[in-house]
Amino acid sequence: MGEFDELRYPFNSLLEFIGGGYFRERAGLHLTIALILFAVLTARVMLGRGPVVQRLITVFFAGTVYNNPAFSVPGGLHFNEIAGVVAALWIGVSLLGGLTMDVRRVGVPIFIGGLVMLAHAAFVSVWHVSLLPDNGTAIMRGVLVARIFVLGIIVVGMEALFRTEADFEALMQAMVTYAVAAILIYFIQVAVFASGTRPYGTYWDAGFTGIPSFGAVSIERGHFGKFLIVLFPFFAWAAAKRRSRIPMLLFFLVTLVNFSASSMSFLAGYLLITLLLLHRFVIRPSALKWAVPAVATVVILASRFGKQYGGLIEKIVEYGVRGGAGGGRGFSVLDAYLSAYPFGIGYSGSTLRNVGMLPQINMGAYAMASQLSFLIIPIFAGFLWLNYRVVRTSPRIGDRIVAGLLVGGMLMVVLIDLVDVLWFVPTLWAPLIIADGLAHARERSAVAEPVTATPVVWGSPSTVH
Amino acid sequence: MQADVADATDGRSPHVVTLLGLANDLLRRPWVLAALVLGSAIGSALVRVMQPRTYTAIASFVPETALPIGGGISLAALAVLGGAEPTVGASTTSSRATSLDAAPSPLPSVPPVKPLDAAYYWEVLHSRALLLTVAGSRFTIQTPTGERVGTAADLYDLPAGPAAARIEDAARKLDRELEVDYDVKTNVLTVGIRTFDPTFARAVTERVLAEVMATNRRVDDDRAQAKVGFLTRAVADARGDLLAAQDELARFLASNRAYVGTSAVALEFRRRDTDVLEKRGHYAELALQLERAKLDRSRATQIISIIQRPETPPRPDSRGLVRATIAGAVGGLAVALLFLLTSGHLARLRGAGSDELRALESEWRAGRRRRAASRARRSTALPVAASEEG
Repeated sequence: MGEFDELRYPFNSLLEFIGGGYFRERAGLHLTIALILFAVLTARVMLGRGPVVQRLITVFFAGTVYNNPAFSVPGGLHFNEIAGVVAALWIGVSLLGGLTMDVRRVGVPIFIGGLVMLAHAAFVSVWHVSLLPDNGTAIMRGVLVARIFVLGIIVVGMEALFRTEADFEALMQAMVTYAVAAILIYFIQVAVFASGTRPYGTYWDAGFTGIPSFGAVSIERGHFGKFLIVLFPFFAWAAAKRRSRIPMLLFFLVTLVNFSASSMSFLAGYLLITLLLLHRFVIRPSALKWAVPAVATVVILASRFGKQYGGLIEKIVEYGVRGGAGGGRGFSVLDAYLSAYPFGIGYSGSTLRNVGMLPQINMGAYAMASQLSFLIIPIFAGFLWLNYRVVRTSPRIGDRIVAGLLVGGMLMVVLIDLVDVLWFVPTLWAPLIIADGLAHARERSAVAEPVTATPVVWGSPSTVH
Repeated sequence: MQADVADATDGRSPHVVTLLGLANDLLRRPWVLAALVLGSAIGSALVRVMQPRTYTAIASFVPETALPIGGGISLAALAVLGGAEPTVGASTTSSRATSLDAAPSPLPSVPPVKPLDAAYYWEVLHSRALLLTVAGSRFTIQTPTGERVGTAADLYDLPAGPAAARIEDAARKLDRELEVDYDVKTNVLTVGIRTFDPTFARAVTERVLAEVMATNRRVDDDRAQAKVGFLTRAVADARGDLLAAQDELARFLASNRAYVGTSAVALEFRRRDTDVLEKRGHYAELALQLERAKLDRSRATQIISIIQRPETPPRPDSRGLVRATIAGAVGGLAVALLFLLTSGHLARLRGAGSDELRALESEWRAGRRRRAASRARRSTALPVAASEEG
């Protein structure tokens, strides 16, 4: 194991994956199967219920974790992003045709945030020549900001198109199904590795655990872990409301064996928040039947991979608690940026996290501060206000468990945004959008009914029906 | 809230808008839109034009793969031979070695720094020691008024003050003006320094390059020195061991002058003889390593190859005027959209008789009245106080 090398991807797009014959190799077997599965799932969604644009939006959200180069066209646009762009154009035409927008919902504030960040990025790049050194960087910056507008327009469209609870349930179910397929691909990759072939997307573990992990359908093992973990509320929803326990078990298993420090700590956060918000529903005698196998699994995994988990805890403590400078998470990196660019480098997402040879920033809060400078205060305050508003309306969601899971997901997203640079990943916004949508979907069907304006304390006896 | 919900359902809420409605908001005051877009574009262009012209001197080099000192046996390997415990990092990092790392050695070896790594050069080029040395050295530049000599602080026209503080400030300025680029494919590192004067840019780049080479040499010399020191001690120990083994053999032969070939004494003789041979071989090998290390130490190691020496830039850097103008126009458009759409929405709310907006506006007006009243009180109180004092 000591002589183990990482194996990344020798192709940059689907065309190269097919044209280079990688799909025939055993090392690319998992991606070939993943492509077939993705095609089948997408065909199922596209032939399913609702208007076409609604189905495109479903693919946009559900396919987020499929960000491997094999799932992209030349230029780097992924399949789910293509679906998103088409949906955004479609909604744009519908808006011209009279589709309405409600400024109090989630979509318009995303638009406003995008406009503020666009103005800031434009003006700081005028001041600092090095921020727009060439046309390529200028176009890249434009594309990065455009992604915010694509998300905004899709959310505006969702607010108009997703009218019933069934619409949102179909979306959540699709996200879970796509993710389960991704998890199966992970285990296929493990099997290929165990058979003696190193599959494409086999990674080291940043030096902390000593065993390899895999990218599966994502570009990298960390991406896979992080993009998957944000789906926790939907897996929990499927387990609680649809009795789909096996997907939840697979979700836990893959998170525990992927050895990603971020996803492991996020999982702990999700569990803690869910327990706090829904303890009335979770801590029950009937839950013991699940607690026993869960504890047994954790004990078995801990005894088998005790050293690896120890390494992960070391990494979390080093970077997260002590603020170690490694991995671009130290304060000195932020200091270097703010010294060179006191007004920030402009919104750059996760793609342009560094300027020139200044080190890359991986800590979410620091990256945000280095990009937005003083604007971080109104932007983040606006984001918190948006979350607060949706949390306030969430008691209108008929089901307490669903509401609790979505609110837990929203609260965790705030923490995730501070830790990692995943700000405009669609699935990160999904709990907020769906909670808001479900609250309003309930309203539409019960306009005549008076809706209680009393804030509900989660988990209190009054909320248990 | 209930009214809003009902309004939203039948489309009469001022919060529910259409794209055409928003377009009307924009077109209601087109001159604001045009003024903000054009003003920002022209302003951005002016900012770029008014920024002082800069000149960038560029140098590029390839960090070469250095041969490990001592004919392939590294310091760590020798330390292992000498009985030292290998470091923890040695075994973990060796498997993660990049193509930029040194040639593989027979035993695990991880030098404390990686002089062939691009990140190492970034650290060296932005290191405080290097920048202070460069900023503190003297430069001669040609100006329209004649030759100018001084430190970087003098040439940057930094305000007078303690010399150390001025050098520190100049080093910081230099740090901001220094750009390092690394091409992964070609392994070429490019250093660019952007300053106000072409001659100064070239001179600073040359000095930086010389300092990088000096740093490399120092690091290399320190390492060679450490190896020589270690090998000297190891050779002395091996020589001592060899002499001791030879003495023991000699004493053994002196006390056992006659023996039979298969006796225990004969076996003991062979063991001691082999021991002497092994120690001699070990000693000879270490002595050879020591001589090689001494040779390496005396050789000035050049571990970078200059591809492009810095030259005086013949013309100033591009201002990127078109890009800046477009960026300014885009920024202005974003600001105009925010302004016009917000004011349009406020007008809609006012038209719909929004209670929240009315409360907000009355609070705002009350605040303004309070501030005006307190200003008026202050302005009347001041003459009274002055007259009382008078």
